[in-house]
Amino acid sequence: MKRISIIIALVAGLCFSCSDDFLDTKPTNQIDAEEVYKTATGAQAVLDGISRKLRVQPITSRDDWFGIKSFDIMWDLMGEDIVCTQQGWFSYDYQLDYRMAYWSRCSYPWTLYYQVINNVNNILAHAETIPFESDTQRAAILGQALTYRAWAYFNLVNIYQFTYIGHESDPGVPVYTEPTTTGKGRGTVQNVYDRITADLSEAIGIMTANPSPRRHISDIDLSVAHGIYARVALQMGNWAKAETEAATARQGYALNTRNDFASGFSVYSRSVWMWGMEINNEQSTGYGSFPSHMDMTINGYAGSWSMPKYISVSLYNMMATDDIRRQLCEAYDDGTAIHYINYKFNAAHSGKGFAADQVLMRPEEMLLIQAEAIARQGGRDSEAQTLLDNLHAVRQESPVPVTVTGTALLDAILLERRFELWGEGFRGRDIKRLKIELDRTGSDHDQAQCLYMTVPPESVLWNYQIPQSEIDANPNMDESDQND
Amino acid sequence: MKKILILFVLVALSIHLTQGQSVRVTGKVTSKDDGSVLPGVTISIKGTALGVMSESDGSYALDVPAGSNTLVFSFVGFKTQEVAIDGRKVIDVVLETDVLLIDEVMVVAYGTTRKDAFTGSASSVKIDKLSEIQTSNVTKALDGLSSGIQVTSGSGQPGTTTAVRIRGIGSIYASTSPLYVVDGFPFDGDLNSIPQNDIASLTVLKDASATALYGSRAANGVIVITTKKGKQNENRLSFNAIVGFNVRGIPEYERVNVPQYYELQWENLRNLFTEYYGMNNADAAESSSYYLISQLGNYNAYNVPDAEVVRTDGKINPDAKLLWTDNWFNEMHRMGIRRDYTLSASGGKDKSTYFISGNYLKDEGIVKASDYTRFTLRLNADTQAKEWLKLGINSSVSTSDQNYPVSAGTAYVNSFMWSRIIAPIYPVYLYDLNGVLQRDDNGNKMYDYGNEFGRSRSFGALVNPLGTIMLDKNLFKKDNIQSKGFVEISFLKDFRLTVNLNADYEGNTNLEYLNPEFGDGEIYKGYCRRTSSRRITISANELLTWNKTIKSHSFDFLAGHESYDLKYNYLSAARSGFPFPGQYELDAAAVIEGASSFEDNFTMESYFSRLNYNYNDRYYLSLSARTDGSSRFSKESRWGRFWSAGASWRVSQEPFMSGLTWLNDLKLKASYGSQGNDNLGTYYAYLGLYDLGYNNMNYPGVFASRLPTPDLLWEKNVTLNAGVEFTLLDRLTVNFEVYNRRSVDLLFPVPLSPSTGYNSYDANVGAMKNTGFDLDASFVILNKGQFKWTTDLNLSHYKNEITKMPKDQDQIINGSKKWMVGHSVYDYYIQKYAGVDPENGKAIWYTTDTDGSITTTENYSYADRFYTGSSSIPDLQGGLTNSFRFGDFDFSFLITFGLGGRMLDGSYQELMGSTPGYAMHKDMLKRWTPTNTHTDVPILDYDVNSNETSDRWLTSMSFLNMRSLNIGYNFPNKWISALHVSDARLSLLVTNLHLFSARKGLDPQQSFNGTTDDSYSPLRTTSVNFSMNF
Repeated sequence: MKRISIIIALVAGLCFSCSDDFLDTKPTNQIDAEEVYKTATGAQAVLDGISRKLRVQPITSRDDWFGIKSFDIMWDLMGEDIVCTQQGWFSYDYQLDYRMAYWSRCSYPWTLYYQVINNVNNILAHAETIPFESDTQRAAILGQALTYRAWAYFNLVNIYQFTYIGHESDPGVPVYTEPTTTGKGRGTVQNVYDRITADLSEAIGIMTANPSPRRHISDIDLSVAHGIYARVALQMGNWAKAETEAATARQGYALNTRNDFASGFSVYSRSVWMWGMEINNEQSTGYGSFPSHMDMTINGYAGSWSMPKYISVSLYNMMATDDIRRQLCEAYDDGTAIHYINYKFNAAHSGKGFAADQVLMRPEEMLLIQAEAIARQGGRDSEAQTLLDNLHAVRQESPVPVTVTGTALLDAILLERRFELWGEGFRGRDIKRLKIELDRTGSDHDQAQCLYMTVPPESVLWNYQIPQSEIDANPNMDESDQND
Repeated sequence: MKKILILFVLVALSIHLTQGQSVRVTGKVTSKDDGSVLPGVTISIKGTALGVMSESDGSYALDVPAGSNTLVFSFVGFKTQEVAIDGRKVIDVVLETDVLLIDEVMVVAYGTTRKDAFTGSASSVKIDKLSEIQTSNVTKALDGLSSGIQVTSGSGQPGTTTAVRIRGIGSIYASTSPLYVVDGFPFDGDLNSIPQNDIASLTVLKDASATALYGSRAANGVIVITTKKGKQNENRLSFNAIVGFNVRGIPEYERVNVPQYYELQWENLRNLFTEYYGMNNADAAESSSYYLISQLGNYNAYNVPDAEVVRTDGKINPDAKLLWTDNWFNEMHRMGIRRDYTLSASGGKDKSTYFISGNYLKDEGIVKASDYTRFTLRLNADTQAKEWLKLGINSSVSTSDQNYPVSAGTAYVNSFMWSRIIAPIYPVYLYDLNGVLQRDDNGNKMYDYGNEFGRSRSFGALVNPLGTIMLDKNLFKKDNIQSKGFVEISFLKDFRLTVNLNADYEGNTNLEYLNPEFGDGEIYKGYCRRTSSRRITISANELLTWNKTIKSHSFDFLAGHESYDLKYNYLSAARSGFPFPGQYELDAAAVIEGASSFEDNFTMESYFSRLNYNYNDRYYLSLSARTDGSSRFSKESRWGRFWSAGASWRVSQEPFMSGLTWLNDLKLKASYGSQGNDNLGTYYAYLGLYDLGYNNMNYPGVFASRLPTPDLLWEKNVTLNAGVEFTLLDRLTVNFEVYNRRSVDLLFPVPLSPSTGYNSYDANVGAMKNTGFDLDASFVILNKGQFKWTTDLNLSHYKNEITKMPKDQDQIINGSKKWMVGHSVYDYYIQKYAGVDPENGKAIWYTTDTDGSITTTENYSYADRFYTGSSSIPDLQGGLTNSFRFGDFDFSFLITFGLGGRMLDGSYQELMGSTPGYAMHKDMLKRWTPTNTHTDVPILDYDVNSNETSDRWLTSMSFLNMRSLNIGYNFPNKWISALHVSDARLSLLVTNLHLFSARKGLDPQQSFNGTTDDSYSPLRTTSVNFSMNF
């Protein structure tokens, strides 16, 4: 009997050692979705997660995927102001040959912007239950969420459809205002812009009513919301709105001086930015980063000559010799031709390297939107001239007053955008918005590298197809919804 | 055993009492081999259940009832012998070793079984053959030693594990690896920590009957490893030393040499000028001679002016002399030395046994700065503390250092990629324009980074991996402790309760250091990442067994409970900016580059049971069932049931077969059952989750990452196995099995509209099947006097077919494959090459016209993908071992082979491009030229599409590998007995002697999916092995 008792003791001791919660485990580097929205801190963490998501490298092997700045490079390389002489990452963008439904450039922006939308939709869906500590906190969080959503739809509709004007009733992109797992149809471009303007108006409304100082350069504040609205209004041809939004946006921001402009675009505090991404070494994406691809001063893809980016000779030649933007450029003979290196992006100077901060909005862009909107409204050319003069005053050593008027003035403003915003992702967007021809002739572009020397206005090459994965999985979309 | 003995004695007594007339027979059993006495031999009376075992001096005594006239002597590893009594009272028997049935007792789930009683499918790998393969990791030794196993050749880096598959492909998205069970417990540790010398048995469990007891983790088969134990009254001290060298096992592809390379690049340029720039031939030739060197980054390897290296006739200048002849491969690689020493002692006395071993391995790879050093110690001991109580421990400690430089993929520091792809014209060291080797202030050769003396190397600008390899570090330090203990209690005559406890610990620290001077670390001024992780598994099981024989009915019942608790901790931090050379600790640098940590927990609780029944050693039935609860799944769905049923019939035991003397054994068997595959790649397969760590500067951030999937479950296998085993003429043993393995509830990421923010959610929606056969045969071809020749052959074949795809997604393209119902997971779906247009030399591909007809195109972007009708699954694969013994000499070799299947030879494809600066395969010499129009190699004209992916690169996977060779000499007893040595042996071992494949350089076993990588070649190891037993 003694033995039996030993056995029973052992069996009892070990067999029932598994307690009820033995099989309940949770991850430690992820958090249960339901936990996130139980606090305002959680909702703020979602916003910061979005800010970070816009600059992470989702797949380490893809050095041309590092968030929204990779789309800025895409847009610029599709234009005529940057010259490539080697094959490498972004070659297909330079060749306007990355738009088909199966290609990765088609799916990445789609996925990223819609992930942002899903995250902000989750914040907005919990708006009533999140225990905000104050109205200003509520306004800051919901205002940012709404602006992010508008901004994401604005970017999407500009990649996957032609511009607003003339395409209002063309297919847009699916619009979601709450979290879902069922895909929607494309709707129209007008639907998308309706959503964008409604979200921006609401965001501006609640942030105006509950103003609060900005926490960090990466946050969307009232100025940034106005700035995004200015971009949207310009796209929609709503010149008066564009003018006032741009003017409101840049209130309180001085223009960058010549010294500011030459400071290398790598430390946000060294110049005047309205919105930007501050980056440190830990959060930098290394070789897959904007500086790696665009900055010729550090040993990334561009700076190590693996795939250098030059400023187009013709654009260089159009700038005044005393212009700081031209003075930052330097001739380089690569053995076959003379090219110009633009040292606008200079992260060696600051020592930031691959961790250079990235600009998303600056007052000069707002000034140029203002000037363009005024010029297009007609009859107020002198106001627009003055704005250009204001900009020249901080770019050129001895600026000559702008005297041109009418179309010539408008052309001067648009050319000024190319000078000022080179490398910041605007040229391709502008070509699409302005419905103009892409003309790479008369410069140092090589057809063997760029494939197309000229592309007619509103060519299908500008229009990205809807990713095939969306067409395949979305019950409300089929091949007939695909772009050409 | 003693209990059984008592039982037998009791039964014998009772019979004695009832029948009252029996004869006592005594005798002694010895071995024919060396005349030694054999304890533990079972001596039974034919036709009855009576029997005894021989004592430690080999003697036995048995009362034989009247009417019985035959004694049966059986013992593991020896041929069973039947002896007629014919009135004798003393019968001495000499038993002969049995090569065919040497593995009569086999290790199965939660115990052992007699091979003839086993209804399932399992292969016991021959341990002596396993230990002839020189590797630190047992997975790399398995190839060719068992049917039903497919193994990739794996990296040549010492201390790495390779991938193993059992009976086809079990899953598409979840794991396809078998479960490893070491000394009774599922093992998630490092298999490198178990030296081959410590392994006593390795069994591959293949069908449901064999594996169902491992439930939700067994769907991909189970590999059961047991370590050595001491034997009663067999005290032994052994020393084993293997010393040898490693060289490259797979040769390099055949590439063109320097003059050929310049000539080909000249032609490349000439055709560019005529085709795209419209030059006439003479002008184009002149321009090509002029521009050739500058196109290659101003690298002129000859002592003649640039424009005269290749003359306008396209031929290399006959007066030109080479300025340098550096060989990248030789500079970056070496011959590695391998040393492997084991000292062990084992034995047992009275009621205890022990096994102690220590092993030291130092294995140098062929890449400079690649090696593996390991120490292991093991102690296995058990004791019969009381008549009813047995206790034991089984523990091992190992620690290893591994230098493992990057040696796969496209990184420039991968020396195999670099030395394969860089054009032969580029030197390793820096030479000036006159070819004078440059030395630094200390007199050391300077490395060529491709940017001095006006040069700009077209391949790997600003990189010299040799400099990087020597200065960078990638060091892994691992510590493993495996500790097990058991208590076994016998009670109520036929019952036994065993309680097992197990703790596996694995500690890892990793140093990744990029030097500040050269390569990727330059921009960081030196970069260092330190990673440390700890994995500990605590598991326990309680097994209750009941054995009972009632007349001709034998029952063997098992019931058990098991808990399993895995905890994994990870911590990693990185800094950059290292001011002092040779400093690798984080404190030496200031800039934080990252820090992260996490913990994973995985728990399981299981109940299981098995009943084995046999009638008269003729009919066998085995039933098993297991219920698993797994923390991987939601509370509602985490419990699952798995089961199996198996039966076998030993036809040869039937009375009607007894006349057939040529047939020693014949057994038919079949089994059916289900198992699970819970390894879906995550421990939390059901929660809706946000990722942490999306921090925005100093602000913590989260981002939605996963939709909740509360219904997700393990994948299931339903396997049918049927087989026949027979032995003929005491010489030929064959085991042949067919199987149908259906995998259902396969995990698929079911696509969602990406515009919802998620690309997919996980669901159990797919199905697939693997059907095939396994054949194992052993044949004693010759056994005469001193000479013996045996052959072992195993053959495997399987077919894989997808039988169900997710709804609304009837096809998925995955790289070079397309998944569709009716096709295998590895059916190639790629562009089809239509050869070369004989008119202009351009590559052409097939395309589907708008009207559906098939035409050809020169434009690769119009080329369509097709099923090519081939896959990377071999039709047949196997291993053939021949062993010879002649007196004191023995010789054996293993050949592994595969037939059918195709590789997509991407390495060859890379070498068939036109890009300047990249090396070229010799086949480029067969390119199209106006005088060589009938070829399938296109014109060289800078066309980057000419070598695009297509079925042009599909190459036969068939191969024949001289896998291992062993020549041994056993020192005769008369020489060594004076030294108190019981045996001593000297042998030569060669692993990976030679590979025959369709293309020199191609390793057809490098992957299951048929793709290639420029990765660490498997090693050829040649060693001398000396072993001694005292």
